Parts: sequence; structure tokens; C-alpha cells
Amino acid sequence: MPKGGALAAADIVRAAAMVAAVAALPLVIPVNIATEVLIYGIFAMATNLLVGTAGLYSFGQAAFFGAGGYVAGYFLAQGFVSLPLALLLAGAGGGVLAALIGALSIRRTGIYFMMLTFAFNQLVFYVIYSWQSVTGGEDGLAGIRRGTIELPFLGTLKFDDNRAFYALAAVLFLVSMAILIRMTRSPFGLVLDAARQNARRTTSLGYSVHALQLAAFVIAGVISGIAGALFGMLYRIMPIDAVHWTGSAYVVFMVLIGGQRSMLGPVLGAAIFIWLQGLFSLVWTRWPLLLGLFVIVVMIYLPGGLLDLFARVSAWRSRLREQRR
Amino acid sequence: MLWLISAQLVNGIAIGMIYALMAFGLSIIKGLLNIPNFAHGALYALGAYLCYSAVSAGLPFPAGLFVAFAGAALAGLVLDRLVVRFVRAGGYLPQLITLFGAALVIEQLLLIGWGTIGLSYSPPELLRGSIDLGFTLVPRYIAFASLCSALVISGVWLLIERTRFGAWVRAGIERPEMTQSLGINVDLLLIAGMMLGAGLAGLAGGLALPLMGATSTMGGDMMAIAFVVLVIGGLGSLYGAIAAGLMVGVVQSLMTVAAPAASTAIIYLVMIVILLVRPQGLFGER
Amino acid sequence: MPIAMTRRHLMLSTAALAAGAPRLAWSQKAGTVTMGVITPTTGTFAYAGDLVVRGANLAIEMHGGKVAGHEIKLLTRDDEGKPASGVRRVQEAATSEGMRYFIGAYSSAVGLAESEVAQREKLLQFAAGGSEDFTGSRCGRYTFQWSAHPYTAVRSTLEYVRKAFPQKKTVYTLTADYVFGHALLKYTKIVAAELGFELVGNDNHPFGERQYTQYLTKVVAAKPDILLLNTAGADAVTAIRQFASFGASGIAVVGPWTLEVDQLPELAPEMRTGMILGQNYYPDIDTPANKAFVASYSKKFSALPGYSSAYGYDAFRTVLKAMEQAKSVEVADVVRTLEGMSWDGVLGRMSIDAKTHQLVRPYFVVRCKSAAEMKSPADFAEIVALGDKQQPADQNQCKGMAEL
Repeated sequence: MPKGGALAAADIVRAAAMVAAVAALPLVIPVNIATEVLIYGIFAMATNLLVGTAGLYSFGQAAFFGAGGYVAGYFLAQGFVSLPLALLLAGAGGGVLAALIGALSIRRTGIYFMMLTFAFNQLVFYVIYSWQSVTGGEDGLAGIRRGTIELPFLGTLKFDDNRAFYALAAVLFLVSMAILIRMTRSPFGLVLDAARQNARRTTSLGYSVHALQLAAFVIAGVISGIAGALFGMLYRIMPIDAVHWTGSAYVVFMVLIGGQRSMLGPVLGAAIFIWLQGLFSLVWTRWPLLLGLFVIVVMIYLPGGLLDLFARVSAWRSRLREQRR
Repeated sequence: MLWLISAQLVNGIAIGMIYALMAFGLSIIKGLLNIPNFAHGALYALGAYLCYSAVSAGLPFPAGLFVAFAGAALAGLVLDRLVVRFVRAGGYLPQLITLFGAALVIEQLLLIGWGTIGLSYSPPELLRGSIDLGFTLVPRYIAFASLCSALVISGVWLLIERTRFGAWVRAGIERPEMTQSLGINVDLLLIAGMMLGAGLAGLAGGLALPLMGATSTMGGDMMAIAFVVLVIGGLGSLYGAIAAGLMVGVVQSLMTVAAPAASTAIIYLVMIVILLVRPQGLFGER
Repeated sequence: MPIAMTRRHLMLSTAALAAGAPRLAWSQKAGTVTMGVITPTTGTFAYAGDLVVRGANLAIEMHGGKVAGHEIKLLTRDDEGKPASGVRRVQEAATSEGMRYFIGAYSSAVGLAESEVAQREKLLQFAAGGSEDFTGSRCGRYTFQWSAHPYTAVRSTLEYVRKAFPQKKTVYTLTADYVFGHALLKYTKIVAAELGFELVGNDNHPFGERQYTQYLTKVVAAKPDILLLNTAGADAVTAIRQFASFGASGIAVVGPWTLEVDQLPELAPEMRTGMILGQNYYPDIDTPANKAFVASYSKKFSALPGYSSAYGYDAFRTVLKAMEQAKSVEVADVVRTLEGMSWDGVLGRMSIDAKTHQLVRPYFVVRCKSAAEMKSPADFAEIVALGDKQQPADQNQCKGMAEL
């Protein structure tokens, strides 16, 4: 293991590569799709904190994504324009809801935890669906404006231009990624990881595992809420299906397809998932069949996700290089 | 008011039996193979389509039900050989996602095979119309479907409790390692379990055909309910699903007296409350 | 597979037609106009997507593949019946393919979501679906509504029932618990009072409900003359199917906006016999434009067109007509032309209400035939009445149209 300096250098290279990739993305695919990739990337990374790091198999993350989107969306549709406040509210909305649901579910494990989060997701869906005067119910919350940022000396930053909005999503994406990576490497992340592998032993070492897991659950809720707010602003509408449980299934899809072992995996999963859906749907009317096959094949042959593929390819290439030598 | 409640009670029990049949199959697969069968809803839809094709080809309705059972059981076999056996060792989540993928594939195959327009079938003459119970009318077909579910569940219960195959199944659920050492072919046992569970889902689909018709998306709603029923019943308990199925049917039906619009949400609330009070479900062991 | 084949075949035939047309130098310079059909080919409304595309393609083909000197390019996208997917596909088609016109919403929720993108990107949307919000609280300058208004639907259907069955008085309503169902119920109450019906009970059911026996138990016990279904699509199909299992033949089933002709084959003939349904379209409509449409459609697909195909056809036909009249394919010109247009369309005499962008058109009431009366498997019903009463202006919530 390289010491401090080398590690930092490698990190800087990686960070620079990430920034370059994010900057180049809208040149390759339409800017709105690129924005959506980043939004779902944020959502998937937050989910991976639970699934990959803490081993909490949540099947109800769409509830927090939706809560954030609806809270911020309602605020912005009412005529308020402060973007920082909207994002703060979205994060708080997702976080408070996650604290409530987490407090009731975190002690359950395996399928029970999964089903509890799923059931809460259904209840949140039902509330949003029925509370029509505020949420728009079935037809979704319309009239959402993209907020603005007031900066001293610089004036007002507006995001009505889709490229400007992409820049905003990119900044939030990179910040979330940096925070989440830091978090998984911090003592907090290491204890979560240890608890995933052996909860009882971690508890016996004196860590209050449940409290830490709850904290992770809330953090994921906050970040998912912010992703939801961005999503509402992207098309200026918060559709009801964003909070449907299939949204929870899809984000888990993204995490597992991409790979759970690093934060790059979920982002890769989100990109592939959104891109593949668009591509398949152009190719064949019965495209979900192709998507289903793709998922099955990935899960069977690359249980570690697509990151596995890269690891294998690079291992194979270095072996090849050695043989040549 | 009292008659209304009794009427909904009768209706709830009848519907609950179909839920129980669905969840029982899920419970067998969960117990034996230890996987959450997320393709259970797709198998249920397959059963409905197969039953439709069989009766349209001129077979009597009971034969249609058998075709639904056998066809779905075969699909279960294929699913096990092509998909499930590769993910058996993984965690819940990869299994779930893989089976979700399999469900997508099955649903699209149904659309390719039977077209995008849903299908309807009226039950045989004998089962049309209602039975007058004095305080309420019960459609004959619903009475038949619940009776049929009850009989099938009893039949499978006898199979599991009273036969040698059943003894292996029980051993396979309770002590998998020991079963292996007794020289029983566990792999074969697991395949049989998968086929039985899948077959029951198909049979439930066939039974539901006159009520729900056949559509490719019909599995989704039913599967969500089946999972709720399974969890309320308790994962370790093979039969908990039956009692829980009845309970969910009754609660849902009674809810329409008080607040009809909340009749779907209520079952999730019930599940949450039960799991908070009894984390292992009603009949599960810790 | 057969569906995919027809799609490809259709696209090829349109392309061939366009290529075969004489190419004048000025028309090449003038370029192409890109129009989209954004419809569900997966999900609950999976059946509708390809049918709408068929209709739209036929309209282009019968128009000669060109409009106002421009080649027509047709795009198709799957909205999955989900608002989130719909807006994504519309936005993508507009930015990367230059789509300026689109039709296709099948579910109102999807259409209303797409309408937000349409206003922002200045795309002309010719929507269909049951929600009154298209031309009410969420009306927009760039969005037009092809389907009749729920008020027109309720009014036409109940007027017929009043005339044909004067002895039927009591009505039990089953209402879908979302905006669409609530709107139908609201107008049912108004119209029932005017026509002298007595509403004896109502139950709301959640969207996507698959278990109706608990509601129907209450209906059967109340012994009304009429069960009025203020619900639509798969929910309505399931409710009717389960109602049939009660064998309560004394209660007439009436649906103002319940099942379009496309969905009638989902029910067995004995389940739908005698049902009174409101229809946005029915192939028997007696107009020259519809006869021409039905003839070409049947020749090409060996089947009768339904609501989805008629919508695709008539919406495209109308927009192409407006483009010719405006001698322009600029969205703003076409919007202005449509707002003042009045013409003989597939459904009869049609015009557009400039204040709301509601298509003013007749609505059709049909009575479903029994198996014995049906002359062919697709002979589901007969048209028994026409209605065209528009929503009273004082009940419209459209707050005015924006500048172009």
C-alpha cells in the first residue's frame, strides 16, 4: 500500500478524470439525458451507501427521492425562487422521512427490512397520490421553476438554459460523489462495512451498529431527496411514477449492474441503464425483454457488476503484457 | 350495516383463499430454495394465459386449470435451470433483481405470444350467477374459486405432511445439510420445490382468469400482495401464508365499508404494524 | 415479432412513398418537418402504441408524404405509459431530432407531463386522454385536446339513457379515485340533477384496483336501475368482468367514458351485452372522411380501426390540414391557424375552441350487441346517439392562453 503522498496523487488523477468525464458527457449524449444520468447517478450512489457499504437492502429509496422532489417542487411551484433553500428543503424532506422510516425498520434484517422499506414506500406513494391539492396526485406536480442562486457581487445565477442546469447538476454530482467516497473511507464507513460482514462481532467491539446504520440511512435519504429535487426541476414536473416502488427497484438495478464495491459502479449503472432503455426502445417494441436478458446475464456472469468486467479486462491485459515481455 | 359487514367478510374470505394459494407457492419456494421469487407474478400471468388458450381450444375448464398448473410448473423448471441455479448462492438482492429481469422477459413473451389486448373468459354455465345467502349475493364463481384454492392447499398440505416426498421437503427446509448427508438428492428436491411453487402460481392465475382476465401486467399487483402475505405469515412458516392470505383478503374487503379508497394502502399498514410488534411475522420462528 | 415487423414495414412504406414523390428543387431546399408519435408500447396501455402509429402513418401516406412543400419525417418513441419516460423521450426527440410536432399521450398523466415540455420548447402537442385539465387548469397555447371533454361525454351518454329508458331512475356510481374519475363524478352530479336521475350511492376505488367484488356487493345490495362506471381502461374492464359474475341482469351498466372500441374485445360478448358506452370514435361513423379512412385502413391492415388509430389519423390529418392552410410548417403559424379552423373531419363537423384548445366534435353513444346480434367478431355495438354539448364556459378553469 502506497503511503500518503502517492495515494493523494492517485486520487487527484482520478478526480481530474472524473471531472473531465462529467464535462465531456453532454458532448456525447443530449444534454437532458446527460443531466438525467447525473441525477440518477447521485440517487444510485446514495443507495449504494446502503446496499454496498452498509449491506442494508432497502427497497424503498424512491420514497426519499420523491419526498425531496415534491417538497422542493411545491416550494418552487408556489413562486419561491431560492435554489439553495429549495435544495435544503429537499434534503431535509428526504432526511426526515428517512429518519422516521429508518427508526422503525433498521433493526430488522434481510427480507424483513426489504419488505418494510417497500411497504413504507407504498404508503408514501399512497399519501402523495391522494393528497391531490398539494401534489397534483395522478397528474403530477406541475409548474415547477428552476430556482436561482443569489451571489454577492456576481448577481443572480439562472438555470433556465439546459447547459447551465447541467452544470448545476454536475457540481452537485461531484460534491455528492466526493462526500460519499470520503464517507466510505472514514471510520464511519469502515464500521458500516464491518457490520455488513459481521454485525454481531462489530457490536461486541463496542460500536452501536444500529445508530450508525440509521445515520447512513438518513444520509442516503438526504442525498436522494436532493437528487429528487433536481429531477423535478429538470422537466419542471414531478411525476407520480418517480415515487412508485418500481423506482426503488430500478435504482437497485443501477447499483447492482454497475457494481457495489466503489461509487463509480452505481454511476456507471445509472448511465448504462438510462442509455440502454433509450436504445432498446428504439430497436424493438418488446424492448423490456432485452433489458431483462441484459440484467440476468450481468447478474449471472458479473456478480460484481460491470466494474467486474473492467477489473477482468485490465487483469487480462496486464497478463498479456507480461507474457509479451 | 351488520349485513354489509358480514357480506364483506364472506367476500374477503373468498378472495383471501386465492391470495393464500399465491403466497403458499411463494412460501414453498422461499422455504426450500431460500430465494424470493420475484417472477411469481409473471408465472401467475402465464397461468391465466395458458388456461385461456386451453379452454379456447375446446378443453373443459378443469383441464384448463391443469394446463395452467403444468405449464407454469414447466416454466418454473426452465427458470430454475436457466437462471435461479446460478444465483442461488448470492444474496437476496441479486436474486431479487435477477428474477425481476426474468419477470420482464416472461411478461414480454406473453405479449409476443398472445398479443397486447387483454383476454376474457366467462366461466362454464354451471358457475355463472350468484348464490343468495339471504343477506348478500356471492357470485358462484368466486365461491368455486375459493373452494378450489382451499382444496388445492389441503392437497399440498397432505402431500407435504403425509408422504415421503413431503418428509424430504420438510427436512430440506428445516435441515438442508442433514438432508444431503442422508443421501437424498437435494438438487432434485429443490427443482421439485420450484416446480410445485411455480405450478401453484400458474393455477392461481388460471383460477383468476374469469375474474381478472389475462393481461401481461396482471402479475405485478398480485405479486406485491403475495409478498405482503408471505411476510405477515412469517418466513419460517410454510402455512403462515394461508392464515395471512385470509386475513389480508378480509381486511381489504372490510376496508371498503369504511374507506374504500384506502383499501390498497391498508394492507401495507397492517404489514408494518405486524412486523413492528412481531418481527418474525405472525407464525414465523425467530 | 409481428408487431415489430409492421412497424418497420410502415416506416419503410412511408419512406418509399416520400422517395417516390417527385422531388422539386425548392422543396429540397425547404427541408423536412419532423413529427413524432410518443405512445406506450409497453406497460398497461401497451396495445395502443402501434395502433396510434398506424393511424398517423396512414394520414401522412394519404396526404402524399409531403406538406406545404416539406418532406414529413415521422418519429416514434415509447413513453411506457409513465410520465417520467414520456417527458424524457419528448425532450430527447425535440433536442436531438428536431421534432416540432407530436401526438400520442394515451394516459392523461403522461400527456399533462409532456405538455410542460411542449410549452417550454414550443412544440405543438395534439393530446388525447380523459383529463379535463388539458383544456382547463393546465391549458397551454401549444397543447390541443383531441378527445371530447368529460362533460360532453357524461351529458351525451346520460341524455341517451334518459330518452331510451325513461323508467330507469336510480343510479349507483363507481368512481376511479383520481382526477379523471372525480371530474366525471362532478359532471354526473350536475347532469343527473338536470335530467332527473337519482344518485343512490357512490364508491371510490383506487387506481389499478383488481378486486371489485367488495364494491359490487354493495352495488347489488342497493338494487339501483343503473350502475354508472366513472372509471376507465383496465380498471373498468376488470370491474365489468367481475360484475358479470354476479349475474345481476336487472342493473344496466352505463359508461360515459369507460371503454373505447379498442378495449371491447377484452370482454367476452356476454359480459358486454346491452352495455351503454360513450365513445370518442366508432368505425361506423357516417362521414365521408371516416369512410375513406376506414376503407384505406381495412385494406392495409385487414382490420377495422379503433380509437387509437383514429386519433393518430385524425390528429395528424388535422395538423397537416392546418399546415397547408397556413402554407407554413412553423409551429406558431400552425397554432394560430388551428385556433380559427373549422372543417369536415373524420368525426363530423369539427372546430377548435380558441379559448381552451378543446376540439369541438361530436361524441358517440353505442349499445353493445349480444353474441347473437354480432355479424362479425368486430361488430361489437351500434351507434345509438350523438351528442356535442360543450362544457359550460363558467366551469372552465383555463386562465387564458400565453403569447406565442
